[in-house]
Amino acid sequence: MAPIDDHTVSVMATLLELTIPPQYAAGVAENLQRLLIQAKLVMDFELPPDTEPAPVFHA
Amino acid sequence: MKDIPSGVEPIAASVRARHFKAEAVIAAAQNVVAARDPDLNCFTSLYGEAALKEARALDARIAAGEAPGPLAGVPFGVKNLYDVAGFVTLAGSKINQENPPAKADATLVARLRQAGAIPIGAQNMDEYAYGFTTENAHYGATRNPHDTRRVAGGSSGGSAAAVAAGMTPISLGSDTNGSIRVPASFCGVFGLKPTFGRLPRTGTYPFVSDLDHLGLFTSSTTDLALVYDALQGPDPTDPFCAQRPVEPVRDTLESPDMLRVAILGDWFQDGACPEALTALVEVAEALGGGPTVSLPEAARARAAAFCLTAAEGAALHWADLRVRPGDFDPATRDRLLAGALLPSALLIQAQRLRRWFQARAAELFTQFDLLLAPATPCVAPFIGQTTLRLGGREVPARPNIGLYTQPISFIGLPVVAAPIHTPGGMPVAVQLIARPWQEETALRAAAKLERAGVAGARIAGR
Repeated sequence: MAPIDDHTVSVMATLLELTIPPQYAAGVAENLQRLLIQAKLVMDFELPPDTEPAPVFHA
Repeated sequence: MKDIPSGVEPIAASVRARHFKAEAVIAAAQNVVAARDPDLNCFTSLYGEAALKEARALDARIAAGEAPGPLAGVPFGVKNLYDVAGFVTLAGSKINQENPPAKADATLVARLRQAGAIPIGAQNMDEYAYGFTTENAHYGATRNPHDTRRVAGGSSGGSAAAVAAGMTPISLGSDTNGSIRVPASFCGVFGLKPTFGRLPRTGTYPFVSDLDHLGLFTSSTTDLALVYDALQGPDPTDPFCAQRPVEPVRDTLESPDMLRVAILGDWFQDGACPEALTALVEVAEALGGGPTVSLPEAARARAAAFCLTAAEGAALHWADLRVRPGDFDPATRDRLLAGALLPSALLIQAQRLRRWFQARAAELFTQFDLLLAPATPCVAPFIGQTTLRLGGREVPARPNIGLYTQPISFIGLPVVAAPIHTPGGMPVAVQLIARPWQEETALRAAAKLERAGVAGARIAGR
């Protein structure tokens, strides 16, 4: 996975009309990198098409 | 509480029998808080005279012959995300200081009051419940009563530490990814996170609506069951709360029925410290032993919970993140801002994975009544400690404390965190995980461990 830098964070935030002050960008990038490593674990898992989200989850 | 008995049942019995006035019980608890909280920082606000006034009113009712309830005069504390009428609900934040005082009690606070218990204060937590250490940038760190150099765990750290320090026999907490089980483990007290949807969240500040559970801490399994019974019942104002009747557990704790027990392996033991693994073995042996089994794809389940939490938390706080990010705790802010940037397809996939993972757990529960896993991979870290050594690897502390709790709350299973103390060491808890709606099973196992002297809360300094 390519490293997430301040510029990437800024571009992604712009798409959402979210301004991330420059002094927070490095911390956000570090956390986003950590999240995307976890996200890959989720996205790489092949689920049967009939596995639907449970909108009300009662365990 | 000198001369006043400790424990919920003995306190309530003595107040009902008029051996002690509720006012004296509350004053005694306030004295313990006054003596110990300057060192521990469990409370962010104290109700002082308001609590004493409430106690005097209860005493008057008892004197008039009214039944005061099963928790008569018992003091309790609440994580400061619970509404308590007349007080501002901080949820660990600076931003919420601007909110008006709550107009009504949270449902669970109201239920405890109805049962005769009296709130004495609101307790410290990680900002917006997003953390496992209760090192709060606005209100300071809560210190572990067993070693004040260490964290109490989080996010319900003030609540667990208050019980561990003998300030309150009951604390109410919340658990989205482990926020009851982690501080119960680090502070060495009992914690109960019931099935998702069991206890209504009405009147509590949310974090992740489809993962938020409410629960409690006590110093014994009897107290845990008694208070849990007082908290149960449906509430139509919480859309996630199941419409289930009260299913009392207090009188089932000594049932001799044998439980089919299994130990979760793989993910749930990888990297665990020796204390956690020893505790796991002791608990398994005391419950009659059982095979080690796998709950498949726990790493992916944890990853899904991790991502959902960041994204849903970001959505909740979106408005403030846009206009006043500097008012957040830095540790919370950066994670929420990162969560705001996650793609939507991931979140849908995470919810689908949740359903798949739930089915794998259900398969295990066709063979077993109870699953065991450590609550935390380590004992309480030191305050300010940024990394943990897990399985020979140096990893960031905050995101990894909940490794073993997150997959379980992801699918809403009921858990008792059973504390294990070793001489001279820090406590660590074992998760007693039952099938959905079978809190009774986990509580019964915890009671058996307590009777066997394997599990038990220890009040620091007593």
